[in-house]
Amino acid sequence: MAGNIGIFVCGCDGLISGVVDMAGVEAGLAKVKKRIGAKVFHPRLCGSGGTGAVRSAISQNALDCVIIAGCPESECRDVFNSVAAEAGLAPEMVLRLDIREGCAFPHGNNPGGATAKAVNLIKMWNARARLAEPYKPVYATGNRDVLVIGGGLAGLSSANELAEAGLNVTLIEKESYLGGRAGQFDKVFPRMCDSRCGVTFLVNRLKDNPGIKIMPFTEISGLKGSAGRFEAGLSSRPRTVDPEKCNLCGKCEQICPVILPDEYNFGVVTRKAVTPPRPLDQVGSYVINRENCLPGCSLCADICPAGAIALEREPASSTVKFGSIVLATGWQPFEAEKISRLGFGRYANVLTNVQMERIMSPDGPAGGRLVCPESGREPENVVFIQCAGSRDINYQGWCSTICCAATLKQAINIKLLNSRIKVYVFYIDIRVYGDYEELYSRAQEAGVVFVRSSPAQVYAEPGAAGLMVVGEDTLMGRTLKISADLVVLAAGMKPCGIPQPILNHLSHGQAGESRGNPEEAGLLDRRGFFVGHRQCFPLESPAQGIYPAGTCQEPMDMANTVRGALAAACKIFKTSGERVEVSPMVPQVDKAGCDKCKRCMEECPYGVWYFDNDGYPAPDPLYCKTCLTCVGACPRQCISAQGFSVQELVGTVTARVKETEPGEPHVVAFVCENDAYQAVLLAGRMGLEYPSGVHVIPVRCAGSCNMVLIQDGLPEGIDGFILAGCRHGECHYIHGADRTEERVANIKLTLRDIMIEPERVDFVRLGVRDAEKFAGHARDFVERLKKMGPSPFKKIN
Amino acid sequence: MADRVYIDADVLILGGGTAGCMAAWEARRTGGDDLKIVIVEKAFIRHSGCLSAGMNALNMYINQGKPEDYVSYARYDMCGAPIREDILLSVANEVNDTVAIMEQSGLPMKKKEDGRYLNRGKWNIEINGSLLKPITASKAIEARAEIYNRVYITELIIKDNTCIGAVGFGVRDGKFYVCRGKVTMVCSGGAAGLWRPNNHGEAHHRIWYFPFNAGSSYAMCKRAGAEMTTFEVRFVPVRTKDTYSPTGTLSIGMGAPMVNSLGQTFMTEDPHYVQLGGHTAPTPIRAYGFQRETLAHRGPIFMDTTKGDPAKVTGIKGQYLDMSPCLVLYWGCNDIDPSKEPVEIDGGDPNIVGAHAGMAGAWTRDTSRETTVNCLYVSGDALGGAPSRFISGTWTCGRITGRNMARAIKDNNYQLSELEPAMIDSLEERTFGPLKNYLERSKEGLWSDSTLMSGIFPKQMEDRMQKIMEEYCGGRTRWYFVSEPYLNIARRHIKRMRNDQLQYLCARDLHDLQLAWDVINRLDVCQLVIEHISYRKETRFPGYVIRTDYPDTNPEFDCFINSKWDSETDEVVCFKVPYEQIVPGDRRKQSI
Amino acid sequence: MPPKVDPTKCDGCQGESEPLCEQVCPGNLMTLEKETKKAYCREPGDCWDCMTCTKACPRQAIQTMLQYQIAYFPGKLIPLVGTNSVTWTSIDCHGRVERFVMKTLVSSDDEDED
Repeated sequence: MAGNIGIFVCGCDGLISGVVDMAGVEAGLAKVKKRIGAKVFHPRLCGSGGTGAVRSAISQNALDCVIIAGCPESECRDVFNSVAAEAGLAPEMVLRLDIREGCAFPHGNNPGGATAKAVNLIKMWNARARLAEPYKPVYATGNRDVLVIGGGLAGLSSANELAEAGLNVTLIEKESYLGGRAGQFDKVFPRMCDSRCGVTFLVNRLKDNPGIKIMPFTEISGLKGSAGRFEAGLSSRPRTVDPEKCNLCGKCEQICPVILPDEYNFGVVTRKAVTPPRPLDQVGSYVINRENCLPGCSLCADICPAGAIALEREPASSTVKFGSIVLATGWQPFEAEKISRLGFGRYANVLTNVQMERIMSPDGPAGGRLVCPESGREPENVVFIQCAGSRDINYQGWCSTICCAATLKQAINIKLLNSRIKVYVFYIDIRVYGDYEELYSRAQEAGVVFVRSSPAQVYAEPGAAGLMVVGEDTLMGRTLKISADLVVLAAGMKPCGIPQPILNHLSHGQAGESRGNPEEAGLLDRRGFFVGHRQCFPLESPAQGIYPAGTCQEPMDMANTVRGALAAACKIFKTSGERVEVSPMVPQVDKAGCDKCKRCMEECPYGVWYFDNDGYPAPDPLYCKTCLTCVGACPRQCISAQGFSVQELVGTVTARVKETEPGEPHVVAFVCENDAYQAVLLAGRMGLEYPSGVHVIPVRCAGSCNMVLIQDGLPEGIDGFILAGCRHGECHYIHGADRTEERVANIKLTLRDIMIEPERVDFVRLGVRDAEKFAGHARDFVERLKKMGPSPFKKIN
Repeated sequence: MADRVYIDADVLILGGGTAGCMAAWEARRTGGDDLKIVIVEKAFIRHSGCLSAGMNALNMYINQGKPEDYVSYARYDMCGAPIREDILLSVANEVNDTVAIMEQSGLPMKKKEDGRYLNRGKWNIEINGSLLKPITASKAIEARAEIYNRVYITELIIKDNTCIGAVGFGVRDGKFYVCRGKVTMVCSGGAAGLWRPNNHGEAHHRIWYFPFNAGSSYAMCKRAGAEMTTFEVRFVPVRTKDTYSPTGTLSIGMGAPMVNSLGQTFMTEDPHYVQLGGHTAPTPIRAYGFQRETLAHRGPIFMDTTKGDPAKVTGIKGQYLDMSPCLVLYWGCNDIDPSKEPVEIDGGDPNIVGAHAGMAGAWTRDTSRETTVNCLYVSGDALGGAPSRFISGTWTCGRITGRNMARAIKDNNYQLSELEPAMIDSLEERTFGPLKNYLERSKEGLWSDSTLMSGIFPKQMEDRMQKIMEEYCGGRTRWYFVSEPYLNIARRHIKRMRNDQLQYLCARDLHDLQLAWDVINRLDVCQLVIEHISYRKETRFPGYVIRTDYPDTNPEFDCFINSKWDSETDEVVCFKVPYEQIVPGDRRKQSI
Repeated sequence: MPPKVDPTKCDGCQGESEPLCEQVCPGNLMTLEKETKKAYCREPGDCWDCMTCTKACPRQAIQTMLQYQIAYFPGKLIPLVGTNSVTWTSIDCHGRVERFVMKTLVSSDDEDED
């Protein structure tokens, strides 16, 4: 509680004092004496004379909190903060009060009202200052343990960045090998370098880093805790073959009776239940996929000369604790067999683009030669069909963004291999963006024929050897029929899905209640991709500490995948410092008042709360985004941040203020500082007039408004309240404005019950430039209040 | 077997109420930082117990005179009867300090222009006490007491006449709590609900005293073998009709007198009452006046608020909102404007309390508040023989107990005692008995309405007990009259219930288990009440108990009646204990 | 005066295992209906009318109604709880409104008289 407050009122070289009567303000504050150490009225506080006056008043009177009434906080911040610091006062103890944009400007034609309002505002800020506690810096120790889920390009990139910075990384990969899709492909556009090169490089770097633990064949089986204190259960499938003993003779694979499509090669060839080590398998022995085995079969174990096979091995469970998660679960190809007119699955020579990658890969089933699967011969005519399922509401409504470039890459490579092969591309639009346009030119130069076509159809002519592709050439307005030895379908990308334990964690509140299915909960978009808070924080999930990277978010190329992976690492670096001074806006719980009701945990948009050692909820300061929705939610009003407590705000609504003009309704407006308050400032700058009884208090987020402000303000005789938040879907803290809209709807019901006009409390959504809307709204609101008459409590107070 | 929670404490406080919270606070002040203080509370400490609805006045404050004058007043108000003057004096000495402490903790005090507390009559001061309980609880939190909410203590653990701890069950978690304390304090309130309440059905808890205080203080002390005192002095409230809200606000606050239907302020007009003290007669006499007027067909009886200070009448609703808001609603619903018409009053069901205008409880050796069981302390309503402590006195009494406990641990170097596993196992079995009963008996069949074919639920047993007490032990509908033949019937039925019927008592869930233990404890208190009333063969407190077979006072009973329960024979053995007058003067007069 | 919970206002305290009214009830009477996630009084007749739940409810979803056997319909008494005060609105059977602002805590900050 501040014991010695300084009030400094600035005339702003006439901008304020031209409207607000400075002498009138001084007279209005004459009786404000308790715990006031200095009152200074100055024509221009930010000038050298003014700063000198502030500096000497602070040091001479040992002020512990000062109110600067003048321009908005966005201006002269450095001036006053450094003046305070020079005088030995923490800059956090400087409370800025805007009486220019918020008072002098909008009430330029109403100097009497402006003066009375300035007095009121200073009294309201004084009430805040009186309750302000001295600033105490809070430090937190960072967390340096990270779990990376997925060993593809995104996961490896993040893991490498984190591990090289000295963090402890556990990387889990559900397959037995690393590298993901990038390891399976042939070449990378636009440079046509080897796709496996990048991931091999990363794997080799990681191998030597003691800070990383790589766990292949491992999936996450459970997740507890919250950011900074996660605990995950991991389940590792057994390889069944002892790598120490396996001599790679391959007898096990030969004798294995099971034959299945080989997923590694996207089904172009088959495999056994026993598979040889794939490229980038860090263990290097054969693997027996036990789920594929025939019951009771032990042929492999019986034949193994090295005795390396023990079929009875169980999956191994383990537990890891860590602070953050990188979610890099990647993508999978669209199932092209769903589109029967394209003949995939019916004709062996119809391939998908990913199968084509395997065919053309030097270590693929064809050894890198371009062949038709059916004949084993080089094709003469190759037809690419774009958007196989993509941009089609019957299949995948979206564009996967990279298929066009991928097709161009493959077409160019075919032409490079043998320029006599005829290559056609059936497309709707060629969507290559940025510099990838150059691929299109290269393909054209190489002689690739582009056909702008409606959806094509593939069929085999009875008796003929090849396939026929029929489409309507929409440029020429004619039907086009082309015979092809090989058809390649550009199947789009779909997400692999988020591991169930993570989805469970995210789609339940911290007290365990369900937030509905993942789509309703805003975790996955309608496509199943992982949704960050796209507008402001695209790298974040609804639970802090879980950061998506790569194609689990949306279809993207490799360059963007790496960028995203590094961005996720950056988010984690932010919380990994040795000793971090946390924002004064990180909320703290007064345990003496807390009933452990957990509403703070429930309403936190970021899930950063946990139970401390005494069983009380506490936010992790490293992950808290300081929206202070918890302050607004707490029914016990026992959560506060430094400089922002419910009690301080209550001070503003219970301060002894006067009507700005006779009969003028007294209105307090709590406005979100991010958007709505900017509109208020703009309204002032534009000189838009609104009634002088509207007193604006900027708050962290609309969600930080506790309804007790109304419960306390109403009996004090305040006629009306405005709460202003961001426009729909634009809240910087995901749902702060929605929370408050809902709270306001509820308190309106209460007002109805106690026979007070619910319309006295008003919720409005404002964008940063909604100045007209704000001013108009304030005018209308006050008009309505005048019709209602004064608050019933005006009489009894 | 239930999961067990073991708790070790230096000071183990059973009940986080008016006394318990302040005991913790004072024990911390006396015992220092290292003392481990544990409070076990059956509800939620911030809102539990008698103070949960708030209170608009503190009825014990030395506005004038000396602490001795308060003792003289309390003695007078108990018909000059024996009271523990040593205890009461120790409270009166410190009560004003306590009130100052509570004001510092945030309790809004009403003040006069000169800055002194606004008094209401001689010994009361007015407050805005709707948050009285949260403020009281904040003292326990301030004292860093370890608080266990929603744990219902069922039994004390006694070894060689020494209390070494207590056991109970978690009302939410169903765990078995085993607590050890170097010293243990019982302060879990008085006993409501022994007699049948006036309202029925969904209003049956619209009674004066807190209905969830079911006498566990008394029952546990009794079963522990502690000496008990004065259970014959039950408190009979005469309160606002139907809601049974306190009337001090009307009588002392507004000077509203009792009037009968003839408009007579009988206490000051009828010589019979004038001789007994007039309108400031002792509390039992004023209750008696109400009863006698009604029986003489001069009812209904009112508090005449129409002649009081009109300015004060306006504030009266506000005052009730701080303490008994339902009365304000009652007036609103029944078109009652207390400034225009008198407020009807009525007698309620008797209650067993120790700190209000009743004086039942455990006997304490001296002012230390240690009972006759070693290391077992009591305070609040659990402490007997010292009436009229009310809230402020109970805070103070709790403080003194806390201080004495902290000192006793230090002075005697008390240590925790070893638990005997077999004893703990049997206590667990006893604690969860009704739950187990249900499991077993529900197998024997349910009627179509889901009631048991071979068992009874706590509510049914409570109804039976209340019927017996109402009809044979001087309930309100029997105008509080008793005589030996009636008591004999009550004695026989209560004994039967305790000895034979409890085996059928079943609890479906943990809430039921709480209700089951409430009725078990109440039955123990009933036994004490019946034996004490039976032993006092005279009528000393006419508004509380009128013995039709002994209608006059008898000098032979100018003493305390104490008792001890014999666990072997299940007999309550009563005996006389002499009264010691410390504050000189005429016992039948107030000194100021 | 058993507490009545308005299901349109009660949010079950956001699906907590123990909503605030359940946590505070001195008589262990308030509880959560598992299906609807709304609070209710399990034994209305056991209520002492202390109004703790009514005052504690962060959504003002609880109203206390007097039992019809002792009071006529439809009087109401509704508290609105502030940090240092509680504002009561009494609406009698005829719709007459009376309001009371009662202090509950000493505010640590007493301002200048003005």
